[in-house]
Amino acid sequence: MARFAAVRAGSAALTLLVMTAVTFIVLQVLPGNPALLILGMDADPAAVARVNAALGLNQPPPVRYGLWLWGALHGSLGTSLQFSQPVTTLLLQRLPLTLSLTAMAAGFALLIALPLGMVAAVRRGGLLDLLADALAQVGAAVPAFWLGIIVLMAFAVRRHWFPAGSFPGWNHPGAALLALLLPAVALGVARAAVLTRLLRQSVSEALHQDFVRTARAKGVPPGRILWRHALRAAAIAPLTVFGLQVGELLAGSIVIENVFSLPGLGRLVLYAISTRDLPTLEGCVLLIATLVMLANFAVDLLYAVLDPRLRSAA
Amino acid sequence: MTAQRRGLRGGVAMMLAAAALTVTACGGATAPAGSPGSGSGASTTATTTATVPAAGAKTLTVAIPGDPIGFDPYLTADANTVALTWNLYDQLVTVDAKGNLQPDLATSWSYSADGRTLTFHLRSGVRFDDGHTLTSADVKSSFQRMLDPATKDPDASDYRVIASIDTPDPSTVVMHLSSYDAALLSDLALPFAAIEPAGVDLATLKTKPDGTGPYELSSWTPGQDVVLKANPHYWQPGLPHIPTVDLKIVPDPATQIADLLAGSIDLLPGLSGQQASQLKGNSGVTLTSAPSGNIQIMAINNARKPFNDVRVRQALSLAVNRDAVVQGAWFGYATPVGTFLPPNSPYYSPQPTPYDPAKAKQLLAQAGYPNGFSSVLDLPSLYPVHVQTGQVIAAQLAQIGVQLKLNQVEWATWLSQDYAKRQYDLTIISHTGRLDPDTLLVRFTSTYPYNYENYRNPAYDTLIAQGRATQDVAKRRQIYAQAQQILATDVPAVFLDVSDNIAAMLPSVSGWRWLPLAVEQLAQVQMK
Repeated sequence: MARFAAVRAGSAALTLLVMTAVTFIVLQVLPGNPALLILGMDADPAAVARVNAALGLNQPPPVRYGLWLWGALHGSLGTSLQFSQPVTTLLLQRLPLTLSLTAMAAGFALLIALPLGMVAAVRRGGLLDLLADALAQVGAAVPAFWLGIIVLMAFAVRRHWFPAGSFPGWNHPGAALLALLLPAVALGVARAAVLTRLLRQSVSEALHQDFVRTARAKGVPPGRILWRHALRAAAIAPLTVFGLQVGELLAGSIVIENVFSLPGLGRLVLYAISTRDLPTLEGCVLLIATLVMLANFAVDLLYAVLDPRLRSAA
Repeated sequence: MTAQRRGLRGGVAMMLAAAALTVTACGGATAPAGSPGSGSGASTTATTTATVPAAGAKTLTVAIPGDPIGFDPYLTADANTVALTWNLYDQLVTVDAKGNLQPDLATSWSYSADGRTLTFHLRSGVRFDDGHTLTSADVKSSFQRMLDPATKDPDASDYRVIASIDTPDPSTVVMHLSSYDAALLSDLALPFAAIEPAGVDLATLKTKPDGTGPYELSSWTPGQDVVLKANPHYWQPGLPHIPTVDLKIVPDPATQIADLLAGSIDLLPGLSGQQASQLKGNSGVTLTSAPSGNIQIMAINNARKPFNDVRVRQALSLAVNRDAVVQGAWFGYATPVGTFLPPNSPYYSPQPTPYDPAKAKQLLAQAGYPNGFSSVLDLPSLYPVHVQTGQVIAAQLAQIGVQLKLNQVEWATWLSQDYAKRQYDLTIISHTGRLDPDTLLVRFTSTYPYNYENYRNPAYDTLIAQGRATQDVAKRRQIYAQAQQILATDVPAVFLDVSDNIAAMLPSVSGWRWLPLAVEQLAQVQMK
């Protein structure tokens, strides 16, 4: 177990190192002058040169990456070039929004997929199955940003049920969660679609397994067979996908946060790229990669809960 | 990806137009006007409620496209930033809607006969946010800091003629100039010449501004909003009208419109023509537009073949139908021009803009390109209007055999590659005029650091230098008329149009006025 954990931690550290290095290289390859972006189009070239020097941008790239890495290892992610605030402050300001959005979108996906997938599996070929299938097809085909704009128009512009785009801030938690509801739905629909199909498939397969037949023969009630036996056995594949989806949701938040003008990590990523704000971008990459790894780790733990065989193997 | 999103926006535009028809009735769905006198028990006298009309807990919510880069106008020339700091700081002088200089922190000023000494008399009783009273020492330390290379002020070179500053008494400032500079006084009215306090930790001004303006900073949550509150000690009586202004950061144009129609923002300054056309005819929204100082050009790399031949550049200008650009890209919210000054400048000299593809083909043939040529037109994707202009122009130039490959360039790349390194054939961009004609015209002088057109004409250089040193306005006008004629003949860039500044607001908002500067003037805005 200890060895497993050590290997796991080691590969996580290596992943983070590679990701930050790739991010750094990509930002070097992209043309762009951070000082000119900070100072503006009419900036005196002498001032541009002085700002570049002050930001340490005239040092060779490997040295700059090394310095950043050294700082990060010591818990300092540096200062944002654009906002002149500590990157850690910016990340902590924006993390709650993206986490809430991701959690709400994942919750929405489960809320739709679980009942729909189960019903479709039990009543294969029935009306609900057809409906679930159609919904899954459409849901998977519709891009989140398009759906985002549609629900924005329908429920925020035509009916003033939701705020259209600007975020009220966490000082008003109720209003803040309300502002996240539409984007969460827009983001969650595609995941719900994929999960529904997967659940339908794996549950209906499980229902034809020997152990279900045995349980039936023993006289276990059908509801208990479905929820305790079949779902448990069928959950591994959807769970794996759900773990992967957390990463997709975080990536999707980049787009959806921009559509809804939400100040989360996703918008910070885009802003940091477009302004060549390396410390901010590296901070975002580090945080998002860590979140994805934590999600996958949580899924691994859940495997063990669901499948006793995996438990003893670990 | 970008093209996909743009197509989508077009669709949204149509949907919005449809939605707009149905929401007119609820467009003004903001808080109802508070009845005077019904406020808190603290406001005891009737006179206070009368002089400060409806000074309840009212908040004006404004959409702005992006975060400022801090709040120190000496550290950036970024448009989003100075549009905001305009409300936090004052200058020695300011401008009215017509572009005339008006007193601000200085009540009067005068030049010496030789134009080498400029004396200002300061207003009394002006207080900074930190509570201390403005004196000549604040003005002196402001310009010292601005001109100190260590500050890295991107605009300092505009004020380089200020050699030294004397402060004979607390209310008098005497600037000694290394030479007369006709642009100086109007440059002093720009947000870049804000007066900052002396004796405070200037490093903190980037996040904790300390000015004399109508508003002070209440909070800044990057990516979310900037909240301003009224400066209780502001020197102009009765201003500002609104106690709190919440500037929400809403970058997406479609979301901006949605927010306005939903009533979650009251005021949307800086609309594109496309956005304005969506809102036109919507009785729930008021549109206010005025010509800006923004000139859109198709920049030409004069150093590259075939653009080093003046006949080719002239042909490009003749083959562009500016009216089609004004309609296609600005939705009518622009005026065609043939020079590099806006029509609202007193130095504007109108130049003809004939649309004559036949003559253009002739010129191309004379230059050795009877069948035209192909080239690349870089379009900064951050600005949809430049992309749309590029599409219109590419279709027009195809008619004279010039095949343009449209190349969308991300902004940071454009700034570094096209603008700073001058690696491009053709590109489309706008340049913002400031108050003095020199700020635009100087861009085509040989030694200007961002003469990215690589245009060189010694005669033009001489005229611009003369213009800057000339005190007599009539004579200066003559010089600039000549300079503009040279630009119209040499075509270092195809001058396209001057766009309108457009603001949209709910009917409850009034008092918004556009200045001939790219700033957001909030102090005069009122809410019902």
